[in-house]
Order: sequence, then C-alpha cells, then structure tokens
Amino acid sequence: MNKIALYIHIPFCIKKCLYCDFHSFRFDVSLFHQYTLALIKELELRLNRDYSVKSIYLGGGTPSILPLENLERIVNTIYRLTKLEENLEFTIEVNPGTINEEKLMVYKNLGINRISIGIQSLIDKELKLLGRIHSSSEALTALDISVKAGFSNINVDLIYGIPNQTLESWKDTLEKILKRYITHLSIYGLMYEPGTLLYKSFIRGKITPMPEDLELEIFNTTQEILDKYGFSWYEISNYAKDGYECRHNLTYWKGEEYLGFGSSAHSLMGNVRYSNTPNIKAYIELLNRGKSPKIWSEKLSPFERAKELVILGLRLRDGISLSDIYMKTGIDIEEIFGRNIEKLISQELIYRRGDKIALTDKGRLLGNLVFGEFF
Amino acid sequence: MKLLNIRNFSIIAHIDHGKSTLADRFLEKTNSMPKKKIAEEQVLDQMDLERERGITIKSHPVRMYYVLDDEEYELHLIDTPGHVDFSYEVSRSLAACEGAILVVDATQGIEAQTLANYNLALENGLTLIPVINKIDLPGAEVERVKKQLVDSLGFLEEEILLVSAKEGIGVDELLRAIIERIPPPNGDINKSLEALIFDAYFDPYRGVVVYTRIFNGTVKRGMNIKMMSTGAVYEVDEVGYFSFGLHPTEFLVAGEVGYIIANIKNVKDAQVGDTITDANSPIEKPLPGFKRIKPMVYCGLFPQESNQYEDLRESLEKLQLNDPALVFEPENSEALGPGFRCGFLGTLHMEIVEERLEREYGVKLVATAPNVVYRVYTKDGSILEINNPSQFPNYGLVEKVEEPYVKVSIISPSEFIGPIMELCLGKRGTLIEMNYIDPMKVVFIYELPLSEVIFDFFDKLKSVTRGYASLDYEPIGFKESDLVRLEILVKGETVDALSIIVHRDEAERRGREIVKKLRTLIPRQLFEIPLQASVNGKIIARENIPPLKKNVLQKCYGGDVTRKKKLLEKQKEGKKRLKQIGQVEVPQEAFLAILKSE
Repeated sequence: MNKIALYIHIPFCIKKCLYCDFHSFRFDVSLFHQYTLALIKELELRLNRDYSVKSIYLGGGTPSILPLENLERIVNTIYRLTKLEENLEFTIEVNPGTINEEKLMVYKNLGINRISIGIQSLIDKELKLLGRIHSSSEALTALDISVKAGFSNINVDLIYGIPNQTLESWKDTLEKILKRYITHLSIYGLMYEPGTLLYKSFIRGKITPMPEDLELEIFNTTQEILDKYGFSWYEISNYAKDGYECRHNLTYWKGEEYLGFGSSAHSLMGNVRYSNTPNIKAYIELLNRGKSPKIWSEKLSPFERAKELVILGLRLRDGISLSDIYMKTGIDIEEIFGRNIEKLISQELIYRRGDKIALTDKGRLLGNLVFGEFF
Repeated sequence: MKLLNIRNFSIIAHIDHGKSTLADRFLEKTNSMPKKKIAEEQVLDQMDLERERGITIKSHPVRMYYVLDDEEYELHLIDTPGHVDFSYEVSRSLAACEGAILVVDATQGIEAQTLANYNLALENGLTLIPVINKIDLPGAEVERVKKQLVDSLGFLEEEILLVSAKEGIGVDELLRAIIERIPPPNGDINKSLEALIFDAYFDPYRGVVVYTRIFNGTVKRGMNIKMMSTGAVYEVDEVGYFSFGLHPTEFLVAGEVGYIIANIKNVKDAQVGDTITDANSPIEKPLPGFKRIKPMVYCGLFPQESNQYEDLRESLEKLQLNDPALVFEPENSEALGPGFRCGFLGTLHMEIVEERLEREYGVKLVATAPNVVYRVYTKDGSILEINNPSQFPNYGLVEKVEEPYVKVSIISPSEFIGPIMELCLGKRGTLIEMNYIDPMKVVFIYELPLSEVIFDFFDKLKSVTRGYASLDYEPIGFKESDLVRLEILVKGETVDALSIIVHRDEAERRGREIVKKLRTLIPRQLFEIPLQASVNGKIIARENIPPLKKNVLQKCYGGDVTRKKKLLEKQKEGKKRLKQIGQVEVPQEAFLAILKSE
C-alpha cells in the first residue's frame, strides 16, 4: 500500500498579489465550472484504491474562491476514489477576503481539519503595498471565525521585509496574531521574483527594499517572540506548536511520494517527477478529450535523488541522516561530498551529530550556500 | 616584364575611408579575379577578425595586369595594415613601393591616420596620388576636402582625383594616373641580390612564406640566400608572385614583388624590414630602416582553468610562428597561478591575440590590465626594464623612473578644442603644436605618456568629441616621471595581478576608484572583506564588503523543487568563474577593474 500526500491546485485569484510568481489566474465563473469538471476527470483518471492518502492539501491560487458546490464535488470525488489514513490531515488555503462563517462550517463538515490563512501583515499600508485584497481587520475576523467554526489546527502566513515595514510594525502584527489561537506559522522574507509587478517597481526604483540589517533584526526578534509563545521552527520558513508540524509539507521535504492534481501541479512517484500543463485552457481541453494533462517528467538517477534528499532534507531543523539516504538511494553522500561537508562545518553553516547533518542558526539564513555545495 | 612596365604601389588611408573597396575595384577592372568573389566585398582582408573589425592586420600583396594605350603593365598592389600598432609594418610595406594612393573620404576630410600615413610615405620617398573618395555620398564636401589637401598637405589642386570606389567612378582615371605618375622601379638584375622583407607568414606544410620586394639582382630556386640581420643562410625552394594564392615562377627579378619559400621554420628568422642577399656574393650594407620589433604593451594572460596552462603555451607558440611581434614568458602569479607575461605592439594587437586564443584555440583567458615598459634606475646603479608592475622595486631602492612617451596627433572639428585640451592636460600631456587644417578643423600635436594613451584615452577622446576626433601616435622614447606602484590588498593580502604603476599625483584618485569598483565586483562572502589601496606601504583608500548574512530560498514546496535545482545549477556555474585569492573568491572581471577609470 502506497501512503501518499495529495495536492489539489486551484489556480484562481480575485487579483494577483504584486509579489506573486505562482500560477494563478483571475477568477471567471464559466472557466471555473469547466475546471472543476476537468479536475474531477483527472482524479478519476489517476486516483485509485491502491493508494492510501495521509494528507490532502487544497492550495492555490485561492481555493476559498471556489463555490461550495464545486468544492464538495471535488472532495467527494477524492473520498469516493481512494482510501484515507485514519489521522488524515486536510488543509485548505484561504484568503481573508473570500471567507465567511458559512463556508468554514461547510469545510469543517467536509472533513477539512486544517485552515491556512494568508494574512501576510496586519498593517493596512503594508497590505496595500503587497497588493492584497483584504484589510487587517478582515484578516483578524477570518482568524476569529475559523476558531469559532471549531478548527483546532490553524496556520497563518506572514511576510517580513516589506518596504517601509519597521521592527515595531512587524512586532505589532506578530503579537496580535500570537495572542489569538493558532498552531502554525509560515513566515517568509519578501522576495523580489523576476516577472512580478513588485520586481518591476524595484527595478524602476519606485520602491526601496528593506535594509538587510533590519531584515536580520526582524528575523532574530521573531525567534525570541515565537519562543515565548511556544512555537519552534522546524523548517527554514515554518514554525509550529509541538505536534502541529504540517505533515503534508513534510512529505515534500522528506522526499516522500505525492500526487498533484490540477493545472501546473507536480507529482513525485518513486524516482519520477512530473507535472501538468500550467495552461488552464489546455488543462481543461486535454481532460475533455480524455487525455493526460501531464506535459513534463524526469526520471531521477539515484545520485539525483540523493542530492534532492540532501537539499530538501536540510531545510528541516532535524536535517538529514546520511545512512537513511544511503538506504533509500545506495548513494554514499559522505564519500562524494565529504570535503564539502567539512567545509560547511568549518564555516559554521551546518553541524553534525553522528550520521545526522543539519543547519546551524547561521546556516538557516544562508541555505543557498549550503545547498550549493551539493551541486 | 621590363622594369619600365612595372608599378609598385600601396593604398594608404584613415580607417573607413574606403581603402579596401578601392582595392576591390582595381581587382575588378584588371580582371584579376572572378566577379563573384568581388561581391563578397573587401576580398583582400582575409582573416575573420580583419573582416569583423574592418581593419587590415596582415599585408595582402597582389599582382594585376592592366593594358593602357596598348601597353601591358604589371601592377603590384601592397595592401598595408591600417592601425597605429602596426605602423612599422606599414613603413616597411611602403618601402617596397615607389608610390602610394592617399585616399581621403569626401565626407570626413583629413584625419589623424591620413596625416600619419602621409608622413610615412614621404619619409620613404614615395610619389603620392591624392584621391578624394566617396564623392557620390550626399554628405560629400569635395571642395572643402580639396582645400585641405592643398593647404595642409601641399598638393596641387589639379593633382587630386575624384573617385567613388563604391560606384566605380574615376577608377579608370586613377589606374592611368598610377601608370603615368608613379615611377617604374629601378634596379639592376645583374647586381647581387638585395631584397626587402615586408611581411611573412607561417604555412604548416611549407614553412615560412617571405613577402619580398627585389631591389637588385635575381632570386630563384636552388640559390642560397642570407638574412642580413642574423646571418642565417637558406636554400630557396620556390619563388613566385601573389594573385589570390601563390603562383610559382622561375625567378623574381629587380623591381618585382613576390614571395620566397626557403624551408624557414620560424617567422622570427624572416623579420620584417630585414634584407635578403645572395649568400655566395653578399652585398655589404643592408637596406636602411630595419628595426627589431619591441613590444610596447604587456599584460598577463592566465588560463581560467589551471589545467589549460599547457594548451595556452602551445597556442601562444603557434600564434608566435606567424606573429613575431608577440613575445611571452612564463609568469607565476600568486593570485592567478601559472600563466604568461605577454608583450604586444599595442592594445589592438593585444586584443587580437586574446581574441584569437579564445576563438581559434579555445583557451579561456583571464587577462590582466595592460601596462607599458618602465625603465627603473636603482640606487645601486643598475637599470631595470620592468614589464610587470609586480616586479617594480621597492620605493627605497628607486633612484628614478622613466616611462615611454608618444607623439600624439589628434584631428578634430574645432568646436572641441576646449574639451580635448582639458583631456590631454588630465593625461599629463604637453601641447607641442596646434594648427588649423581649415577653419573648421584643427590638428593638435601632443606629447603624452604611452601608459595614458593605452589606458582609456581613445574612449575618452571619442566621448568628448562625440566620435569626431581621430588619433594617431608614434613613440618618441623615454622620459623621467614620478611614478609609484599602486597595490591593491584584498583582506589584507596584496594581489599581485591587481598592482599598477601610476603617477604619484594620480595614485590616490585611482586607488579610490579601483577599490570602489572592486567593492561592486566581488560578491559578498561569509566574512567581511576589507579592500585597500596602498602606495609604498601607506593605505590611501579603503572600502569594506560586508559579510553575507542572508541568502536562502524562502519557499520550497512540491512544485518548486525543479526550479530550485536550476537555481543551484546556475549558482554553481557562476562559482566556476571565481578565482580563489587567499580566503576570498574573486570574479575574473575584477582583474579588469583597473582598466577603466570613471
């Protein structure tokens, strides 16, 4: 029996955020229904009872845009086609601007047991700069009604490093969130990804990125505050209360198997990684004709696979076990990268305990230098 | 062919005034080659690089036959190199001729190389035919250019021919003028052999092909010839003339231009300007004007990857077979590892060699900034010739330093007089003369240190005159200067490949510029990197590269893995191009940071 994680991509947004380089599209009613139908077809094509699903993740885009009837059909299709593990983790990403009590109640009744709210900031100026569609009070309301609806596993996404953000405004956002009931935090430093509107403004000199020293100060202060509230980091950008680490995302970092459905969704099965077309129309069209929407795949050699296990596993606080990688791939990382490991240890970017290697606090901020040594 | 019916001539011009197009027209008019080849344009410039840069590096002599008034003539056109770096080669090519066509662009008028070539031709006693070319262009100012030729170069108005090489206008008249005005060669075929080498190239199958002009006597297969500068004797294998390839003949006689193949293994043994004579009855005195070529500009060439060191050596050796002006010796840099110190005729020659090494021989190079040769008189009375800043002796040991100077001529529209004078002053120039060619155009003669001219002078000159000024220069020997070695320290360590020699007054400004530039070029690393500039152990400028504290991909979920791997691959590629200096990884561009000033 294959225990897998299942990802469903909902590629629609009311408006694309200025920093976003993910595949998402403006919401369009007719496209919407066609997409739901295509998604159901893909599930029927690929999912069966040989799998046992340990987690489901509805990501986007903005899955909370989805009309409830569509969502119900998708979820019921999954339940109909495959087996579920007993302690299934079932997450939906929501945007505070698209959520209400009724929707949350339906989510709860559908078996969704984890809510991930994209709050990003509780300062309205900052939300505007990021191009978010909601206000800070809407964000807090979303949090409150999620608790009220009975969700006991709640994640909040926050962004630091926003131009003109101050240490005080960040602390304000963070403390307000932490005083409410949450179990998990994803905290990302703002990135200027080529192709985004934010990047364009940066290139044109219209906005000034946060000075690096302040960014580091915010990062360090965040650690201290989260400590006080009983959160600890378990992945470069992720914090959780004990026992609330996101099991779905851990699948990616541990290099375990997952199936992705929907446009541009990726899958990893055995040593093959593959992905669907990112073009929504093409995705719908292919499935209408009963064809696979898969457009790309790569077979990983044992060596490639081992390298992936290293660079993904090192994102985790627990790091990697060299013997574990050897057992999974037959590749002796130490034999090949022994000198690189020595170098990283001497640079204090990683540390070693027995056959385990993990990032130091310094290394957590310089992950790319660490990962780069294994390429 | 009787001497009376031979004409040896060359075409001289400023760059882009139409020399090569005119040569094409001659070939066409004399039916010297198939028409379809002409269509490719500028057929005499054979090397790819020559074509791309629109300049001539090697001589390309060609023999043409032309009938005028029922009489057949043998015309030898010697196409000459067109750049100041090769002015010695030009002068030797001109020495092989009796006349030259001086081509001036009707839209540009007299430019710096027009003047320089005119002077070279006069020194060689040539008969000059002034030609105004491109008269068909809308911007042509024929009357104005005529006046320039009359007023500044002393031609008579009626001597000047009007031509459009592109349209073929005036070419017949010009061919007539060549025959009527340029004197036939004189010489005596019964005297001992006296022949000038004006170029040579190495053929891997046949050895060196020597380009020669016979002044007296005869040369033929089986004869023993002697190079007068070295005394080396060779047996002649083949002689002949050029016409798109080599055409063997029985012999070459006085007055003719052609080639000699004599099992010569290295171009060094057939030096441009040397005289060839009959080994069995040598003449007493060689032809005048022979000079041993001395490199004017040096730089270090290092393989990007140290396992290419042997490839680089072999490639340099191969290039040198054909390019005796290129010199090199092994150099071991602390910063860049093993490589070669290479000497060139000038910066163009240097760029050509670098480009050929990379393009034709596939060697990836790190080149250090070029420098001139300095003459250092030490306190213990010895004289050192320094071609590498890292060998510059310590301050306390130096009595005085001399550096090479050049006489620079600049021709420019008169509106730029102010900016040009300001530029030359900033480059330590002394104004020798300033004359008007006509009310709109002025010629300056300056004396400048060569080091300032090779640094970024031409770029600056172009920018202050919006591209309208032209430049030429010639060496005039060494002069004393107050020079110091500027050292660059990266994280406390002197980087030999970044040292330069500068004038004391300039040291602080250049030092500040260089460390500032390096600050932007060296990527941040895990530790702070102080960058310092120092003169005689005293720090004169400092910058810090702060340590890298944050570099991590924030999000990495199921769909990001492939993208992330690509990012890391790219990071790895970038890293390959870094050179490790002590603890610090320095990109190759950094070694050129000292080339340009702001």
